[in-house]
Amino acid sequence: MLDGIISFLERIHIKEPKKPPRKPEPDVISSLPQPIISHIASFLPTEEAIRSTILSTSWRNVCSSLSNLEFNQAYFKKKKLDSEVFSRFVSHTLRSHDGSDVHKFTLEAYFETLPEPMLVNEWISFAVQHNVKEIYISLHTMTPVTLPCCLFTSPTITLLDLFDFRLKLPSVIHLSNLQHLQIESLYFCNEMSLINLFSNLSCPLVNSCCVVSCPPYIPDLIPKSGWNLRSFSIANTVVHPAPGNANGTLVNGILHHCALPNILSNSILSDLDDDSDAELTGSHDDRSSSMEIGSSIRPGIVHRLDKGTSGLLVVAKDEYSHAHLSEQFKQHTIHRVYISLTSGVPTTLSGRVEVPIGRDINNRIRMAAIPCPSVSRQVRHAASRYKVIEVLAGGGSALVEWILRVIIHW
Amino acid sequence: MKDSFNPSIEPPKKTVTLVSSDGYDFEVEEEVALESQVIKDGFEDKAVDDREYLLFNVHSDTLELIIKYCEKHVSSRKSISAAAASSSSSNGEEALKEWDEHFISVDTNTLYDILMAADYLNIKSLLDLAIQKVADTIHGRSPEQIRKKFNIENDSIIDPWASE
Repeated sequence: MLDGIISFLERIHIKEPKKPPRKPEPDVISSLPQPIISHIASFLPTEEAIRSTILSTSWRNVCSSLSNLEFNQAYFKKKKLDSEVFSRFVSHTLRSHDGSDVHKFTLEAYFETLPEPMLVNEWISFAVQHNVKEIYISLHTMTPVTLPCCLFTSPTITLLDLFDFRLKLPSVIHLSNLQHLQIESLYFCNEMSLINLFSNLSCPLVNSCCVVSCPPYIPDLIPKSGWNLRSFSIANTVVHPAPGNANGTLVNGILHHCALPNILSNSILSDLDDDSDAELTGSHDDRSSSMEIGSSIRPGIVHRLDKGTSGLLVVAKDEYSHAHLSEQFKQHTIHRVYISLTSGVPTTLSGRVEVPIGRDINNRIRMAAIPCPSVSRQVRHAASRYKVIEVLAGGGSALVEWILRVIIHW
Repeated sequence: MKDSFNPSIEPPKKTVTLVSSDGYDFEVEEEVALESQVIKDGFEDKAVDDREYLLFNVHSDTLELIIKYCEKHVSSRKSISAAAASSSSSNGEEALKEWDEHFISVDTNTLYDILMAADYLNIKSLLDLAIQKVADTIHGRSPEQIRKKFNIENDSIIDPWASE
């Protein structure tokens, strides 16, 4: 082991005293070979890389082989440059490209402000023609946009990320190499073509799919079979059908994926407390006259997650495992820890909070701590242990760990 | 065979001789020299007693730095994997990053020499480190500030931002 540590200085022949330092050369960086200068440019944000082309003539072509092209109009807005400058900038950069492959292409523009919105199609086509692998498009518009057909038939795209616009899908979709599909705040003009996008014939290799804040019917479209999904995330979505949210919930999506019949929308009722957890779903109404509802209303969902919170959701694929998992939650053999951000820091860094919980008087769909419940009100006794993990913002906030215990005493 | 494997006795380290452009010999351990992809390629084909490399493009001052870098990385990799094997926590990678940062904090001429040598010897991590250093210097500066920093003479009249 020592051998490895002994500095090479002790082993090499004794060197003569250092020669006087060489005469400093002016502008050595520009005299670097062109591939190294281009390499330096590739380590810069696209805007800065392009800007470096005006440094001197030897820097003029440094960006011609960038493999990661990122165009963000917000950056131009921040610099008080109008959309015309942005548009010219993108066109110029693409025109001076040397024809080498583009690995990643990002376009974040405000579609309506562009002087020639159709240029967007030219830019995207450019990326596809240069064998782009990862493509991110964000257009911030509700105007229907028709993107070039080649984007949906590219054999090289592995990652497709579309954000915040209204898309008119072409009728032919074939993304033979697409592995990751992410759509966020995306709306569609022609819902029928959507079936083509979410199909294992059009996109056979998809293994990860992420849907955020999209129309409610999207989860229903996830292919029943064929897609070997390793990860399917869905955010800003209601877990199970409830009044006001009959379709497009996670449950609908799961049933569809597992090829199970969908639940009837008229059986959707509010749920009673079916486990002894302190998770209180604030997303639905409280109707005390509701019928008995079993697992049929929330097939597979073992426990609940409040709307607006994030966390792991356990879903069982059959009755047996559902019963088994539910039992474990009931018996508290599952160890669950919550992490919260608090406004301010608790006076003691760890402790126990024991306050009854009931419906908020002012907002019946919320729960609130009720320190002195009146006899007529339904409350649950709850106790939680907490521990401050970290004090943040100079004492303005804290990261707190919670272990919840609820004692039922109706 | 009587000699069973004894982990406490390490075999003698095999070495390689690197000769700088100004004629100095540097004897380094084989695995340190193999950090260079250029040396690694075709290393096995060379006879064991002929493992001498004439590096015409690398000055001894630079070669000294390059060897220091490679030795540090070889030894750190060993200690990191040893820590991982014994599942003991280690901040080896963090420490190495810090070391790298300190290592590359050099003047522009030295940085140029390191860039050229790392490119010539094809040592990817070192090339990336040096290139990142230049990119960091450019990042957030105006063209005029960059020119001043690197003594770049502005001989271009074309402004890509201007309309065509």
